[in-house]
Amino acid sequence: MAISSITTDYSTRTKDILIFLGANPAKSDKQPVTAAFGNISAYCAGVQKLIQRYFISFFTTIGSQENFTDFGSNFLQRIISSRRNITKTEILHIFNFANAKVLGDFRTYQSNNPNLPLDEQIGRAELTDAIANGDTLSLTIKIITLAGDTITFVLPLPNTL
Amino acid sequence: MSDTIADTQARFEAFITETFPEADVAPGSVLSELLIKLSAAVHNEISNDITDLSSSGSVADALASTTDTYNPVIDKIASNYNVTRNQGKQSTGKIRVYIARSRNLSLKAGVQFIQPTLNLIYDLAADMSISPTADTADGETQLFQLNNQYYFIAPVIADSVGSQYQVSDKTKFSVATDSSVGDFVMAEAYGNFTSGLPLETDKQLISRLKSGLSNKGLLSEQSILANLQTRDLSVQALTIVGAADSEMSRSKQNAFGISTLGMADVYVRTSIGPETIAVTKTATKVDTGSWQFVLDHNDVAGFYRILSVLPVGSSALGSQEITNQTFGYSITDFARANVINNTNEARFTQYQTCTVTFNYVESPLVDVGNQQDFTVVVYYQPNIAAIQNIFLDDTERIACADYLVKAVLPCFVSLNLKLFKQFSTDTLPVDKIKQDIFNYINTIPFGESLYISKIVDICHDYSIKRVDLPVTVDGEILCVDGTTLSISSTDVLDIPTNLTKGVTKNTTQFFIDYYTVGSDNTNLTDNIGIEVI
Repeated sequence: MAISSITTDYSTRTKDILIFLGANPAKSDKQPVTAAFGNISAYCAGVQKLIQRYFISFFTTIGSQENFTDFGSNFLQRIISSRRNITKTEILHIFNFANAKVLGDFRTYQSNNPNLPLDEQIGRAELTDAIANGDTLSLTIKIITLAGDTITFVLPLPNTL
Repeated sequence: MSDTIADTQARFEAFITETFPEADVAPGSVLSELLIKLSAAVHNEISNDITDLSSSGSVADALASTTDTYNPVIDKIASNYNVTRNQGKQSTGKIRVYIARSRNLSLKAGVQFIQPTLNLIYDLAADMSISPTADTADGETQLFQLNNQYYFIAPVIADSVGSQYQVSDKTKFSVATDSSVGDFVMAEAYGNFTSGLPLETDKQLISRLKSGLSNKGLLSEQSILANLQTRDLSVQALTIVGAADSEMSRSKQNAFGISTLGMADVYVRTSIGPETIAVTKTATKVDTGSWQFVLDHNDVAGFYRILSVLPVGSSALGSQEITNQTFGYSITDFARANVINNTNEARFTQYQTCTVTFNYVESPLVDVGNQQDFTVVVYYQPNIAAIQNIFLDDTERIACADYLVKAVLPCFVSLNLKLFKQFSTDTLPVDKIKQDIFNYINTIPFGESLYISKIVDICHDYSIKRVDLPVTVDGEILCVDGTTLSISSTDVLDIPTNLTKGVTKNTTQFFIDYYTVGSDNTNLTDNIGIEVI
């Protein structure tokens, strides 16, 4: 299903700055997203904001922020230090541990802020596909919100990491 | 109290949420990552600097501060009084390390040992090469065998400065997580560790300002303290008993029992807890299975009590049985000596002597009159002889007065607490509570009592629901006549007045060790027992 109905009223929602460009909230099929600045400024809210928060948390290497050493996950660290021809099973193994850490952080925040809209609260996240090709890695991640929305994203990781 | 980064971050989030309610500041949001976290990191440091400066920008502010402060501003003020901040001192000691088999072993300085209950870390003080066939002249360390166990003695130094690091004999250690000792079995303190000292706080530094410019002559309590603190004698506390004081007996030893004035007894404390020292004594066989030696100022001046006697090089634990100790005194070795009239006056001074008789069955048997070396470990206060010599020195002494230096009479304290946790899931830092109680009791000034409510107060600094009352605190005072005096209280532990035993608030101070060696001289019992429920 699509991320959400484009008729949802987001005017009462809190907003974040959109940096994951390329995702069209009206589309329900897989679509690649990349983080970037320099485009026309835009806000995001609802499930798009949730996905953006998830990705930022997931791809921040734990311990990389000097004063916030518990923030993030160890996914990138483990992937970068793994062997070159990593298998999908190995990626899934690494993903599950990192995902559990991020979901735990999100659920703690959600339980401390019970008034969050349901589509801004994460239910679970799964790795549905992973393609390793040389120096590049592409992850297909499915996120399910507490509102029941199911969103699938393809996240390509460039070889410059 | 300093702000943590989390405190500052929460303050920023609240501020932004109030002023711009549409902003999402959840963890992982762009606003949180690029604005709040970075701002919190910068502002936290500034905020804490301002807090520190406002609490200790002046002497008055530092004194009014509710927390310990260490501000450079106070250092500069103190320098005007010729006083510098004491940077603290690391406790040192030796540990007996047991390994599972006979082998050569090399250890680098810095290998860490941890006292798990107190969570105190100690570093190996020097590189060590350990061998069962050690060439000790070449700096190697001997690996001893005791039944099926193997052990060596290693020097260690506390990982940080602080008085809480002074642990007692036989305190257990393990190897810290990041370190490794091959075939390690267990480790324990080999004698008491030396006293450590914490970094001096602003309040403590300010309290010494008056001594900086004061007279440092050996006359009044204040000037003597100022004098001794300029030397490396680790004087913790000092009091003087003199003319007209009821404790002064030396000046009344005449036909009329009238004070002749000109005499003073200086009671000093030179360690936080009682320290131990090992000396080698040559004993003489006086009877079948019975040996004897005399301890005097050449061995250890003014010691408290003997902890153990073992043949030199023995791998045995515990001690030979001491059957008799006869205290006396001697002034014959000294070019200049104080007036000493009896054994009680000489107790805990450099003039004290002690004839020790103990049981020992040698192998092979030798005739009465033969001699053998023994290692004697004693409780003592360091530097008693050195301080006495200052008072007797030609260039420093007060020619018309007789100042006798004595180690303070110790009142060894023990207590047991039962604490109830706030929540059953809480983990109480029992190690920290013990360290705080250790520091409180060992730093009670002369003349003050031990308040059980203060101990309860220390416990309430942590997340506890309540302390089970009453709390009984026991004390055992080592008296000048060789006896002990037991005291106990559930409210205020006071030093009693017993002049014939030399015990008053002016002569006696409280001491506490984390552990005490039981009557079997092997097993330890808690002096600060804490049961958490």
